[in-house]
Amino acid sequence: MYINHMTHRKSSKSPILLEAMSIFLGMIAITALSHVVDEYLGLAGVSFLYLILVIWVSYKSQLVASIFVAIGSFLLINFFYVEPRYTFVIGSIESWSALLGFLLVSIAITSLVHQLRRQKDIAEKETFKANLLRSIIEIFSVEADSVVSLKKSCLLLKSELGCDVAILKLDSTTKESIELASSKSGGVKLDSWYISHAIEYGAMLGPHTGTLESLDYWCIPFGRYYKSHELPALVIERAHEENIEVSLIRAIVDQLSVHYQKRMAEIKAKDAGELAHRESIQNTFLSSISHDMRTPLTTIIGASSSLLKQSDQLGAAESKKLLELIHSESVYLNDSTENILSLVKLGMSDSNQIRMDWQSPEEIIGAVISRYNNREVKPSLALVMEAKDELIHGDQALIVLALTNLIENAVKAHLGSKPIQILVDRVDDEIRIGVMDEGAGFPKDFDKGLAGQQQSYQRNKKGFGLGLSIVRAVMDKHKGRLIVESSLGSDKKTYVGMAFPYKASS
Amino acid sequence: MISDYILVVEDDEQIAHFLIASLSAAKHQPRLAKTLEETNKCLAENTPKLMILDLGLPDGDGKDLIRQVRKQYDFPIIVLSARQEEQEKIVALNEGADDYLSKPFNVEELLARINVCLRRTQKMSMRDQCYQYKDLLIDVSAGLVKLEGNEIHLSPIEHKLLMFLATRPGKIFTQRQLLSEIWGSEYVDDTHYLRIHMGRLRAKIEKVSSDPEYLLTELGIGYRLAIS
Repeated sequence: MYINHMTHRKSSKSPILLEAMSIFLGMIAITALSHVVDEYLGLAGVSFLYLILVIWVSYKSQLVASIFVAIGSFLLINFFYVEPRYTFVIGSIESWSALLGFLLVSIAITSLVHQLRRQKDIAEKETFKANLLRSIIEIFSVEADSVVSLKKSCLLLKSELGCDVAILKLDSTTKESIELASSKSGGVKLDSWYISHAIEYGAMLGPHTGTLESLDYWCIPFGRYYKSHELPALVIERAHEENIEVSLIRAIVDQLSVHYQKRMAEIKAKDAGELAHRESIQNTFLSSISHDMRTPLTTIIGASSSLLKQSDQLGAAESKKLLELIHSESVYLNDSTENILSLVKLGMSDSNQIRMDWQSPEEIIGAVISRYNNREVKPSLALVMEAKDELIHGDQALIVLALTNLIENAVKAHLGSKPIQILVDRVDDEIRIGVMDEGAGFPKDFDKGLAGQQQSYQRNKKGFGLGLSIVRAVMDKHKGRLIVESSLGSDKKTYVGMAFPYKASS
Repeated sequence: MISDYILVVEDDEQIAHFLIASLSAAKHQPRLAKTLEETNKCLAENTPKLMILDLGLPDGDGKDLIRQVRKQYDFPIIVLSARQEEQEKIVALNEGADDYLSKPFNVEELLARINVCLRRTQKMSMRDQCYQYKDLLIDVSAGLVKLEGNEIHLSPIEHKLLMFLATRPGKIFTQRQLLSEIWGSEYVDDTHYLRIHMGRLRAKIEKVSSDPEYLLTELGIGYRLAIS
């Protein structure tokens, strides 16, 4: 970790006695040295040596010590080297000015050094704070899950501040505290009353906060101004033992709060989007089935009642025709019901219910095509495999469902004489499975992003028009995308495809 | 004693009615059991040549019945289940069922599946270890694979896979069963091995890999070797 939290802790100061002794020894040493060099350097040289001592002590010690050394040095010079010697009587005005000079030097250097130290201390604290806040930002930008982000932030604060922290919120009904994240396995215990108080008043609690200063915790709500019970609070243990500035804690909580609230807002927006998507899907097929389901049901009821009530009047050929009609409409209703149920299921299911596994596009396409083998009128389909050995990571049932819908739509819309093409290729980081036909395309203003959201689009007359809604929903579940391209080439081809994110099979 | 009847285990009146009618029309001898208790009674009296089983029974789980039947009997079991219940089908096949049909199903499809199961039983009883369908010949005992009369070269994994499928042609083997048998039980989740090797095997023995004649895919379930 690049944060040097030691700069922020209590500095281990030398004991006063040790400092006084070193000053005393320094003065003895300078006096002894002065005796040696006195006859060579004279008073000026001796004064210079004492001045160095004053400067050194002023740099290293507090103001009192430096003034003491300045006066002491002056008295020693006066006693040993200024006439009349060996007396503390100050005989000249120059001596007084020397004392003043020593005092000025000691005061000036001490205050300058003190100021520099303060600035250095502030700079180190700001660097520590900036690095800590940047680490929190990094955690939230790398980790998608907000609770995991909070947990990692707690562990970071524990390692940097040296005390256990937890993020707690209040249960909206019981008003009991719930732990969202903690650096401690047993959790940080603080009476929920304090958390409630902090959240309700948007106030910090604990030492140096002005509120409940005797509390051995800091409790800082995420919401500074709003009294929102949805927002949690940060709780720090052993508040009296650690020399942590309240402004640093406030800055940490502000940073956590901003990212937590942003994440909550994103989740709310996503939930709202998904709800709107589900509602639009429901509206789409409800409006579609109201008309389209009645048509085959009318045929089935009509044909079966004719067979029941008019069997004597109907000839064998006519009866068989009616039975065939009932059968084909039942099959159509069955397929449509499957689609509707799938769409409802897709809308209701979350990503955890999707059975992701490795799938062979060729195998899936083969299985879908084989369903047409038993049909009286088989559509003309041609497979173009550009990515033969690639596998898709997805839910087989959903991919089959989506591909079946794409093929069904293409079969209904296709007008050309050439076969409908099913294409599998890899483009950059996507594996694409698409169907290309020569039929009515999509209008220029068709927005594939809205397919299945605002309206269904029917390229053919018959059907529920839910095909693209299903494909889009399936692609959403696979974090893929729907591709719709109309009027391709001179044949005016239409391509509708599914793009799956490429994933290497190990 | 193996009797000539088909045991239909189905609690729904309507489905049971059309199943019995369709099987009778196809010259089979159906016998209906609506509960687990009735099924056990039928089995105690006479062993059927085949069982059609709806997994949802009023007095028990159909999968438990399969497990219980497989301890004593070898007759084929065809399971009927709803289309969405894929996991149920896989469990049933793993327990020993031979085939499944998703509701709603076509009667022709059911009769075809019954015929496949019965033919396979006859072949097994004749201890016929040779599989031949269209241009493909697999001699399981000799470990030989011929396509259009020419021996084809397969990798050891492909050979093992094909031989295992040929031990019971027409039977659906689940992905789990195949992975466990060919690669070992620790590989049961590595489905991409199966997909890749099945793709390579198809490339060697199928005319069109995407429209296989021999190695048939049961989507979401597993694979089977086609039988006439």
